[in-house]
Amino acid sequence: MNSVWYAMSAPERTVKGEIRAQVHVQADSPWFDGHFPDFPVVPAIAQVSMIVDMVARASGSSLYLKSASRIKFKQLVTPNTVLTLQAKAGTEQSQYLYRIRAGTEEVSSGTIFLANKDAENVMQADKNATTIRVAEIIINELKLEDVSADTFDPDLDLVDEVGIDSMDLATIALVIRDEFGIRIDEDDYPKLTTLRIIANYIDEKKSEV
Amino acid sequence: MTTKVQVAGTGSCKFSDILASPAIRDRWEKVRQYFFLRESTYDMTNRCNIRCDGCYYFNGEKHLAAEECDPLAWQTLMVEEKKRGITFAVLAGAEPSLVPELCRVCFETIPLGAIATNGLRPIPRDIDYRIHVSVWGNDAASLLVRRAPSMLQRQLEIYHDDARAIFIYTFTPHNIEQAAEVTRILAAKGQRISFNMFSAPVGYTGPLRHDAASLKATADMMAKLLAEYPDTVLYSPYSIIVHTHAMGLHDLFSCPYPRQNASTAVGLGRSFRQYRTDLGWDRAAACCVPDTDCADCRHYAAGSAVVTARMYRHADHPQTFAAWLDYVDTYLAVWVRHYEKGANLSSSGNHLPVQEDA
Repeated sequence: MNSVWYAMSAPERTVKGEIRAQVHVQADSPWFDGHFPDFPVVPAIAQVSMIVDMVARASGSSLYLKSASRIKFKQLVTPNTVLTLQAKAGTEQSQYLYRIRAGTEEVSSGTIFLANKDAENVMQADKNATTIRVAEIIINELKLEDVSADTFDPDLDLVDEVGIDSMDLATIALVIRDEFGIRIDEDDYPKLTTLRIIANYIDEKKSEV
Repeated sequence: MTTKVQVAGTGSCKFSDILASPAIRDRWEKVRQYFFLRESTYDMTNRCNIRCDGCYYFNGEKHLAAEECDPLAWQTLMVEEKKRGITFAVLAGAEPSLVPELCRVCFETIPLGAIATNGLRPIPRDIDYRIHVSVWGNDAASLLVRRAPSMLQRQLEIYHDDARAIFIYTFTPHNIEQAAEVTRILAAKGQRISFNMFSAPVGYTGPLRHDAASLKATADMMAKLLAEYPDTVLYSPYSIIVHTHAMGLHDLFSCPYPRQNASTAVGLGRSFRQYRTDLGWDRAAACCVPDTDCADCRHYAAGSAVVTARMYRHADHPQTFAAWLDYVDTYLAVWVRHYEKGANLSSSGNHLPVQEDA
């Protein structure tokens, strides 16, 4: 697969679960623009980006780099170098150990943690829907005026700032219990004092299910 | 015997399904308008014109507090109480009718409230709080326990045309049968009555503490009077179950008053205070009937908060929730002026949201 940045072969999986691909960084890659004017080399971050790209293609997921550790850059990569990329799942969730070689020379290695953009988008969309619906419930049950679900401050303290008491919290908890089909322990509802806390609580309960 | 209480309220019925019943929904909408009520209680004076066996006020150290008699100091307190969200003042110990000027100051600042009195002295009509006139049996029994002659007769003379008054009959093991006589007299006079249970103070060893037999006999008498005098008796079948149960209110429902509740996050644990006559208060002792033995507490004032606060666990089944609504409807009618009780929704009171495992 070619891009303006580089050309990557189709990633392969070895019997040991390793993902491999080869990359050719052509001399006209934008990566070399200004990096550096008289001495073009592949930026270090670009090397990590190639690994992320390879694992994403191999898994068919939209992944992004969440964090990295123990990364070492040992060789400069000049234009038209062919690189061999290798990545293997680590022992922790979403962890990959990677290595990049140019011929037999190791260019860089390290550990990265990836996250799934699609899954997080879905979760975020759900969370937004949860927050909006909870705001509507609170507004309706407490008969709040001059506020809409969109403008509801998620950190507004319902006890300290709105002045509601335990009976109103219990009522909100009952409506939420119905609406989201979750179990709310009697000891829990007095703690549900802001929109954000309630929405997070619902999301946690739903994820438990 | 060890007793476990398993809390229900796990949502076997949806709340919206429970409210689908028009009768339940109407009653729910009626009572929830009073969710704004936040009480604190105030000992008004350390004096009383009678001295009763088992009186909660003269147990413990409350009665040793100095008296603040300055209406200005009380007004300042009430303004502060209002600022911190108190909307309902309960004026109790020892005998508020002895200090009407202080009661008036409370009423003028916090217009909703109730006064607990022995009913032997009038409380000026302009103090428009609910008035609870305490009755502990017929006049012969009152003479023995309270050392006051002709109590009911004198109480009726004072409150014969006073819509503020509700007579609160405290059941002891020794006055159960007399409740019929007292209720008949009050019904004939167009008065209303509700029920209290003697709840032993800490360390009390006298004869008024209830036992299994007296609890059963009291429950039977309450049910009989509720059936015979539906316009006179402010009570519900569920109130009977709750207040005559072998377990006290705290063991049944986990009392939310500060004395038994360390949380200050929300509810009574956050807002309730029990002021003594020197206008001081002590969180560790704060409940509506301080110095009562919590294991024996079946007090009507305690129940109005303890049972009401457990709405969540009752919202589990239409019958259970209807029973809770009856309880709250009763409590509001007993405590809040101008609130009128509706007919009980639940004819059977056996809807405790707990399971006992002896």
